[in-house]
Amino acid sequence: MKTPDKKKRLFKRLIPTLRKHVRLAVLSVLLMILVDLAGVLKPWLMKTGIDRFVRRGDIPGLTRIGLILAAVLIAGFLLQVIFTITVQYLGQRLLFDLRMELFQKLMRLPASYFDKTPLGKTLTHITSDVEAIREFISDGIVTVTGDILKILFIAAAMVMLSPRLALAAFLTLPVFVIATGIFRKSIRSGFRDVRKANSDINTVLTETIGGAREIQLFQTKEERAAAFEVCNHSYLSAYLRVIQAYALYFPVLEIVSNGGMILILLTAHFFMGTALEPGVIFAFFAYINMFFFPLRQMAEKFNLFQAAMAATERVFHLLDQPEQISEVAVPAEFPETGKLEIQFQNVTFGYDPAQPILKNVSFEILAGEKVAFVGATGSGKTTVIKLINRLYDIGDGKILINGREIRELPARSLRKRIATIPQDPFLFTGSIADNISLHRPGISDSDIRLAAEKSRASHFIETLPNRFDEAILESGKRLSAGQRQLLAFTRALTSEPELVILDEATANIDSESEHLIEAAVEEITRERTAIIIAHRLSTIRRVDRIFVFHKGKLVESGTHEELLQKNGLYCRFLPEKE
Amino acid sequence: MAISVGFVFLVLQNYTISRIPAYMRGMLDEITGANRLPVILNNIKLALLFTALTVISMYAMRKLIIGVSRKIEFQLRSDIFAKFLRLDAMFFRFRETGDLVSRSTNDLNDVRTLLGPGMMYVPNSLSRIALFLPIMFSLSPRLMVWVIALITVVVVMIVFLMPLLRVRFRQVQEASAAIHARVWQDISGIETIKLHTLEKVETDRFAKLNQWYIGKQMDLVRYRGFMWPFFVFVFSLAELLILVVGGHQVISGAMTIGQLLQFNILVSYLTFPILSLGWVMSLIQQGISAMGRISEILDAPEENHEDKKDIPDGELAVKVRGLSFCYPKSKEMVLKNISMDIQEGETVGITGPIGCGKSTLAELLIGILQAKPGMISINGMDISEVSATRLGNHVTLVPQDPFLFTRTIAENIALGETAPEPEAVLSAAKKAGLEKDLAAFPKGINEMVGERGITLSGGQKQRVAIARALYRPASLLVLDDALSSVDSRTEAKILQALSGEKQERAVVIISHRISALKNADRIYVLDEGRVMESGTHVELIGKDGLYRKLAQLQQMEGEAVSEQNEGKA
Repeated sequence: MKTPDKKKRLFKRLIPTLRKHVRLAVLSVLLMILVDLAGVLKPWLMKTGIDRFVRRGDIPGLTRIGLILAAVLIAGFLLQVIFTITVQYLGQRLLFDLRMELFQKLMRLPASYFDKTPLGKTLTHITSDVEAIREFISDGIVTVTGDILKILFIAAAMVMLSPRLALAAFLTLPVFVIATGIFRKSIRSGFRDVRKANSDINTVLTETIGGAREIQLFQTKEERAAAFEVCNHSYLSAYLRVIQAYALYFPVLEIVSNGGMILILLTAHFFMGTALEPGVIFAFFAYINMFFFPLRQMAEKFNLFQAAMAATERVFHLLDQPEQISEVAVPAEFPETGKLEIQFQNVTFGYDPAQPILKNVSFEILAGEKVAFVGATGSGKTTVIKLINRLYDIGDGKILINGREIRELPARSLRKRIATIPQDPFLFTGSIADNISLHRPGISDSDIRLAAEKSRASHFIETLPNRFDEAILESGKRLSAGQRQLLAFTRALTSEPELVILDEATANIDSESEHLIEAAVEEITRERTAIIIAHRLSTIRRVDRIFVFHKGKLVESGTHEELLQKNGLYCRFLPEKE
Repeated sequence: MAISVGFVFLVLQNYTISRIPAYMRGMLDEITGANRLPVILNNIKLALLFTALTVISMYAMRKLIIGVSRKIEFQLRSDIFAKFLRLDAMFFRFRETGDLVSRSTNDLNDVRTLLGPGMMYVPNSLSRIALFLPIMFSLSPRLMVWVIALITVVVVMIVFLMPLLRVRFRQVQEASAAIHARVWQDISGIETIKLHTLEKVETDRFAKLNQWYIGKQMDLVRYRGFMWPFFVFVFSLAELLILVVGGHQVISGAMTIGQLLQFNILVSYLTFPILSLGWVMSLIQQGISAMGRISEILDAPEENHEDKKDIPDGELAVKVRGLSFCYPKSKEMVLKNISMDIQEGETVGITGPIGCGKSTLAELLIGILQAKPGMISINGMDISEVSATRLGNHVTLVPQDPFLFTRTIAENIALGETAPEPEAVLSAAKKAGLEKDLAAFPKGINEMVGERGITLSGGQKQRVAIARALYRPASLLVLDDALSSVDSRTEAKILQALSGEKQERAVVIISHRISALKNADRIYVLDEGRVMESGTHVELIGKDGLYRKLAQLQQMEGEAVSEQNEGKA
């Protein structure tokens, strides 16, 4: 269970977000007060009309009060409209802010966060959790404040009209409060069981659909059906308990309401008799109806409150995630332009610090040099690439870029100078052109076309029905691996990178694309420092030096000929017939 | 049955409610008149009696009608689930899990709401109006006509204006889905975003999308924010009429003040049932369209289980003859005229580039996809004549992305058995190279997988799936890229264990990794749905074909390195 302390703390954290919209919030509450006052005024006018004019047969007076009542009804209606729109607008502004705050946080979170957090979870924070908070603030806080005021206004009006009758009306209040308390408690436990059964049902359903192939292959139908029967049953019985609670509660409300009316009339009989002004009874009947409604609503809002607290907690948990890649207070300038130079000094690193992937790796890549990385899957090649891009900060050792420690360089300006082309590039839903420009401002259509020309991607783009406007669906499933990589080359060529990192595609690429890619590699690495994770001998022969990685260590380096002479690990990689 | 009793109580409830205001009138008229206690007490007695009847019938009505709706929901959910179990894998292939789950939860809930509150509120509102009208008429025909006019106006507005609301509501849902999709994309492609330093660009684009969403929301809010208060306003004009028209009648002596009170209470009892009609209408509409979506599941064609034969026992002989295949609703042939033989004791390799049709071939062999008659036979029996369940006893598949259930590793291996034998499970796990991993888990083979337990790596999942397949005595084992996430050393070990076993079965290894295929008795190389070449590793390397090209590409991948390790170990 949550401690009140925790609730308070969470609530405090929402305040800065609320404060930004304090004017809208105050306006909402003011409008709510006016709406309430109009509501409370209506029975009062009814009473005045009956006692002052109907009882005295004053027809012109009756017409006058009728006009006033009409005016109040219209005012109440207009105020209600303005209030609803204002309070919803407030909620939407809050939602916008919370969502943007979360999104910006996402953009700042280190790669390691995404390694260990399921996508779906993060998605929920930014979509439904923020909705729950919005609902809580606009429908919850504002409406509850309004409801409390409304109850106070009604109580005040009743006392002013007749303290004795007011007392009689309030007599039913304890019954109402106790019944509501019991009801709330029993539906809370009922709904808890419903939620539990519901989540079990969802689990079994998701697994049955997701594992349909396994279920068919391994014939586990009976067992699945039995598991489902259990949770479906507990869902039904939990709900029947909730129905029972509702079925008891609504009749109790009927008793409270009718009992209130009877008590009022009984009090009128004993204490007022014929001196009673009957309009008061009209007003009181209206007031007790109005009185219980907000109370009931508040009881229902309680669930909203609980859900919002849980959502707030999750959202703030995300906002509190450390941004491991933190920029130093005064990042070093990056003045030199031109080719990049990279130095690794005794670098040790693991995604899980207990299991280092790179062990004591040292090397130097000179400006303008072209280097090939060779090694088995899991030897640490790709990790080196991620570290050069500063997607992770290292544990031990030093990485120097143009002689500066990488930690002192702003990550974004570092990455701007590097073009990394992965084996299987990620494509966004959108057009080919969007996937090349990536919506970066300052990249014109002609830039896109020129880059595509250079990268040879234009060859296949021109064959598409809509050319550059062809839509890419579902991460580019319809494009071949070679075409996807050509698109990534084009992306890289739209900026002017000083270091090119390329992970050669291993997926079988048809010979035409292969030829195109070779030419593209030639083009993109010209006059630049380049690192190529190589899978092809033709590539290896073109580079200045080859680094051989094995189990997180750099075991050999040198030119093709030097390594051949060494007759070490490198020779094992080469196809027998070369 | 229960439901019709429920409706009897519904009408009874509205009848008793209609009676109570009369006693309030009686009391008020008595107080302002003679003010005699016995008369007052008599009225109270009757008011209490009818309140008690209201309470009882209200309770019974809710319990019966809403309770029945929950029971129908229960039944419908059982039906949907049973249907899922009867549908073949093809049904699930082209549908999103999320969509199917949503149909069997959210849509089912909409249907339930239609059956429960929907079925309760409409007769409730109608019977209330029907029972109240004669009483209102007897009190004041003129006022009653006015109130009917108001009710009609409100109902007509609800009927005509609600659909306009739905259009805006759908637009909000679309905008919300767009936000969903964008965030999903951006999280999936976060590394690309970071590497291209698109953080600012994406934030600005997201802000724009968000702004657009708010615009759609406010469209709906402005409409709804006006509409509901307007309905309430129109109905509240009844209060004004009661004061002015009713006031006139009281002054002229056509009505007593008590009768005006009674009329006033009756109108207040009508407010909620009338205004809730709009809500109920949208419930009904939602419920009907949800039922349509559920029917799509319930009416989906099933595999015909009758007249299905079994595969005869004997030495395994799989024959594929002229196999061609295309997916439903597609014209593109995925497989074209493929023929191959698989004998007991053999290991057969299948390879080829992505999209060459090798996974489709795997699923056809084990009957998840249905081949046309005459194309695939096992032990002389055409598999199109064998039911999926029976076929499952003879063939099994280890897919590339196996599905693990949220239960223990042991239960995942002995899938479908309630009390698996620990030794058999352990031995299967051992063959699949899981021994070391199991030792690292606190509860070993009884460790829970997934949400409530440990998270397995891709390689571990694949090995659990292999253990799962080995646990069964199937005579044809198809590995569809089943070792893609396993390192080459473990891969070699598992393959070795498999070849030790293969005397009693045949193994089909589908892989793009040459290392996995090297030792196969025969390798088929597929491209664009056709068999391009076949033979042993040595034979194929000797030819200047696709296989050799694949092998060369993979040379750098460190095959030599893993061999060297093996030498050291």
